[in-house]
Amino acid sequence: MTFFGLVVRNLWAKPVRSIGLALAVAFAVMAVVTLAVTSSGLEESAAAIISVGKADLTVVQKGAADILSSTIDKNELTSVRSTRGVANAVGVLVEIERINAANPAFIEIGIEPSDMAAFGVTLVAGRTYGATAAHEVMLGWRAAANLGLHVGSTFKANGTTNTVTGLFSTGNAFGDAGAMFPLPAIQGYNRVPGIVTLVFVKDVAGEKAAAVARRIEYRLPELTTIRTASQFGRADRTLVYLQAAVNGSTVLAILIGAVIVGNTMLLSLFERTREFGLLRAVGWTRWRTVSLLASESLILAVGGAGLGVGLSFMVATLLTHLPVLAGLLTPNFTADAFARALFTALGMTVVGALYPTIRAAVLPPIKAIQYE
Amino acid sequence: MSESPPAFETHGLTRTFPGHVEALRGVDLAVASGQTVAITGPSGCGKSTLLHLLAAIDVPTGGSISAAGRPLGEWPDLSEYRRSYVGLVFQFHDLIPRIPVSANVELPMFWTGRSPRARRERARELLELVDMGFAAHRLPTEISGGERQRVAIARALANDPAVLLADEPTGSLDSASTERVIDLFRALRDEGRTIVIVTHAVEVAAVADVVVRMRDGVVVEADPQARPPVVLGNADGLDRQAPDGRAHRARQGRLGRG
Repeated sequence: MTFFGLVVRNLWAKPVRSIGLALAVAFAVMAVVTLAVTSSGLEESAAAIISVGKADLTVVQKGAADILSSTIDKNELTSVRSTRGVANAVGVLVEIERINAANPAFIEIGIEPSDMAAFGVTLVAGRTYGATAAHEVMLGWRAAANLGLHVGSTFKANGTTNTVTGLFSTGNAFGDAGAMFPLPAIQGYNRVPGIVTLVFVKDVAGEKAAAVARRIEYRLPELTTIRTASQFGRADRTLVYLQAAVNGSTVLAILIGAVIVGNTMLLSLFERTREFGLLRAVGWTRWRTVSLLASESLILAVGGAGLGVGLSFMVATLLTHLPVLAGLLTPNFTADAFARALFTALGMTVVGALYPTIRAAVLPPIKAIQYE
Repeated sequence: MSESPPAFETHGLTRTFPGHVEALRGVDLAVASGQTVAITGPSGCGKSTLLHLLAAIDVPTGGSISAAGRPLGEWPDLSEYRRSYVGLVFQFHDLIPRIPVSANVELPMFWTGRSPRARRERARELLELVDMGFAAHRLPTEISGGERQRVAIARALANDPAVLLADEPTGSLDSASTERVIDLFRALRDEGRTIVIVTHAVEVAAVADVVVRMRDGVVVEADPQARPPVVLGNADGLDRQAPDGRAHRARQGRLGRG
């Protein structure tokens, strides 16, 4: 018999307990991973907003609750445009609107037609809307396909009926699934005249984006700049809080799981104390005896982690199909999610196994053999 | 020709448990290599404690133990000592019930560098030796108490230890099973293996070359039977003499088979 075979035998001797413990680990991992992948999906969606414009950097209001509540006025936009190193700055107003059950978070971008080229917008059908047109809209080609609309169709949004003048492509899936409105019109619909949400900045050739960002932040201390998704927290506190919640729940899951793992291991230790004494008596070292107990826990942890990821995948998929969440959640199974699953499972096992392992290690063989 | 050192030699061995319970009160004992020694005495006289100390699964509170001429404290690794120098048989066999009989026999061979296949083959060989080959794949719960004890003896022999230590090996067996276990010890004795058996049973003690009687934590008498005697004494330093008049060479531990 191999050591691994012995470990498996020991686990299989108490199948209900082993499966129960693996399930406990799995549920904890599932909770953590589901939260992580859904928040990662939200983060990715939010970060996608800043990449729509293909800018070198994005300027937003510092410390906004979320990026879409950022407000930048005309004067600030003018200041950004006049900052040294800025070749072009496009101000856009971004809003999210529920169009129908299938599109509960439809993105609407208010932008001047003259800024579209700089924003990376390519017209693929029809024409651009007029700069001050009141009831005209352009749809991203994905949005048009999803909604079954085309040039000349009518599209209801912001409480008005608009004519689709053209279809556009930004090369960004998030942007292409939205609509573009004349900037004054959407500012009017939302009663925020002269306000934009984001400013997309293209640097002068040869300028370093970091240097330009520093200049903007120096001139306009109430604004901040984002160059990568990882800097998103500068502007969007919601994602920071969400990340903190994910980390907090991971720690909580580890602690709760550790208590379960520790209790089960302790029970196993008490039941098998004589056995551990026997192994010591036939020549197993203290640590090899302990490694038997630890290996059993490790197998359950890794098995539980795998099962937890599988369950998480199922739960996350189910969540996306719930009518109230459809279109809002996009689970993002990244390597980080799998690492988090393993970290949670191993964390539970290591913390939970600590006391039983130490107790098993310090047990004198004679005490173990005479244990009743 | 140089004589081999005694398998065991103890000097002034004491073991006091919490509450000032003196299980051993100064035992001097030498067991020659190749000798079979039975330790007898009433319950609580310290014979099992002595065996546990010889097996290095317990630690004395005073005195010293040497094995093969080397103090136990100087053995680099007591796990290695327990694995290779001694083989231990308990009264209640202590087989792990979840794994097959053959796997139980393999347990001492883990971490010895033997491959799983080599361990399996050695276990099979040992089970044949104790007439338990037929039960190799059975669980311990599927065989009788006497058979389990024979498996425990096979396990104790797994790494071919210099010494076999047995603590009441027939204490929980019926007479037929006891007889088979005694036959096994007799065969091991006849092949020259050093054996120390703690027992109450007269028929088990009869297998021994020497019967050592203990009372109240001290050795009170040695009764060499048909074979050369064990050397024994107590903390008082008085060497004792076997009833047949042969002198015990206390603390010298030079006796072997004569």
